[in-house]
Amino acid sequence: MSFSKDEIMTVATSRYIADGDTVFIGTGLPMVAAYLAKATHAPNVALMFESGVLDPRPRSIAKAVGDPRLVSTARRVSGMMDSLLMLQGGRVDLGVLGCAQVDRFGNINTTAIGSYERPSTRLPGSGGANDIASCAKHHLIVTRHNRRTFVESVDYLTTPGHLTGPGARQRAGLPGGGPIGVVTDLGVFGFDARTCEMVVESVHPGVSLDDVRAATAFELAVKPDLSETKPPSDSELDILRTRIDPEGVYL
Amino acid sequence: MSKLTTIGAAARSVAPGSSLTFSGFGHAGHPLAFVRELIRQGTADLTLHAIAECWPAEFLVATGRVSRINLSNLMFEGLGRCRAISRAVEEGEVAVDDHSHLALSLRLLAGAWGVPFLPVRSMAGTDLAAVQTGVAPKYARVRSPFSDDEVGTVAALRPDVAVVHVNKADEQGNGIVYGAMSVVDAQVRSARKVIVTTERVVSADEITAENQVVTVPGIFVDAVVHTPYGAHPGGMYDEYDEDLAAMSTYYEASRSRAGLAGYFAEHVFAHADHAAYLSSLGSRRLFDLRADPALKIARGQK
Repeated sequence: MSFSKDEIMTVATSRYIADGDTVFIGTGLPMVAAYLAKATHAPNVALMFESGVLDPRPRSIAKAVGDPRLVSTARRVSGMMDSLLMLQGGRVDLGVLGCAQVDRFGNINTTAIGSYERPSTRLPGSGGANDIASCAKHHLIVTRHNRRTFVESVDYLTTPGHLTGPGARQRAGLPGGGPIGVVTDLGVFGFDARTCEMVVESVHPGVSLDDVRAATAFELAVKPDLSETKPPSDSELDILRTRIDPEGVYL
Repeated sequence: MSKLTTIGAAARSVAPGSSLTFSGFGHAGHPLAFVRELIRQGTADLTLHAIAECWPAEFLVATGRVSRINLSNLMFEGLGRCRAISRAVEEGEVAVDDHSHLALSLRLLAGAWGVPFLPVRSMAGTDLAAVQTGVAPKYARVRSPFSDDEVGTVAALRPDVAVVHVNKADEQGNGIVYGAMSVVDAQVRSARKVIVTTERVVSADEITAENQVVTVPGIFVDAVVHTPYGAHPGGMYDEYDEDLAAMSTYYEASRSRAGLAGYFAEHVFAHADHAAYLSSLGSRRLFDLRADPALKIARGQK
């Protein structure tokens, strides 16, 4: 079956979710990916939202993290501080974050483009993203790939990746392990264990390494065993299209 | 003595130049009837401590009532950026100081608990900690008194006024919020004055019957206002869905300053009060938004 960019991003994201994980997410594509994981290889994944929703089993796809579809089917509902303090306490295995800008160390900007006090574009701000990236055991970045997003240096560092490189997170006192990967519409990226810099792990079918480099404003290292991203299977596509998001809210 | 009052009197008790914090998260639970009344009265030069109250903040900024915002996140889920806020910041009309959700919540909690600061792991190593543009510092690192660890801390905040919308409250302001409570507990405990707007005013016995879920203790509350559909055009959990058509009317209008002026003329200033606003919507439209008691969303919604 042929598939869209959103579908391969969703499937690639779901592969980072392991059975039994507690995963901290927002709405949108990461939520669809988490439900795909739950419907396939990770039936025991528990989802946590910054609204205080824990472990929901929605009858239909939610449109917001405070959506009654989540609240009314969750095993527990509390408030923001409760969920974020469980996160700070080290109870979250994986967080999934979007971004407006990201640099080679996985540092994210979702606050402002241009100067902070008189930005050319004011963005929404951190929300829980900084909390997730500070304290989740690991986190994943999911975003569209272009030179405006993959920048040499972020205009404002909202959410910590590996900061300035090896050892920087520990020196800052951040308990979480930092970003383990980046999923885009062009490929899947990891972070080099020695340099903490982003490396190309796989490119999606039909995408070349030159395409990726042309869409990235910093120098990208490439994994020696660079591969092609495993495409979504027919059964994954069927689950996405008929069970998880049949209305096409996100995909 | 009953604390029941009118929405007009409650709004008049907010002085110009006050700092405010509002309930709500996403598209639900915001005290928007109160915000519309505040806008009618012209109360300006406000400071907001805004964690998730995107709609109150956007409405007040769009009408020029706000000078400064301590914020953690302001966006409209499923729609996009809050355009009036973004424009006001880009044009230098509103000053901002950014936090993470947890950090700003803990600032309110420190204010609520009567301590000068609380420790937090978030914000370390980032511009949220390094760039401090508020009237007072928000973040500092300290050595733990019990080990060699260094830890971040955030400074206590005490808003002048918290305005929270609840499902039901008694005449003393003991309020119950169903669904996710966002940061209402920290907001009402940290603020110097608390105004409760409520879908229903109920007896003390009805509150006592559910006394383990009273998020708003009446001892903190100064005023109670009976405000059915008080979160419209947003929703209220277990009461009514958000009004997607009305929200999108606003969002389209927010593309330009002229559009916004037209929106507030038609939807706020044209109505003497909240009752007139509801009449303009009509009972059929309001009825159709009612949440099914089992599914918690309006009938016919998927």
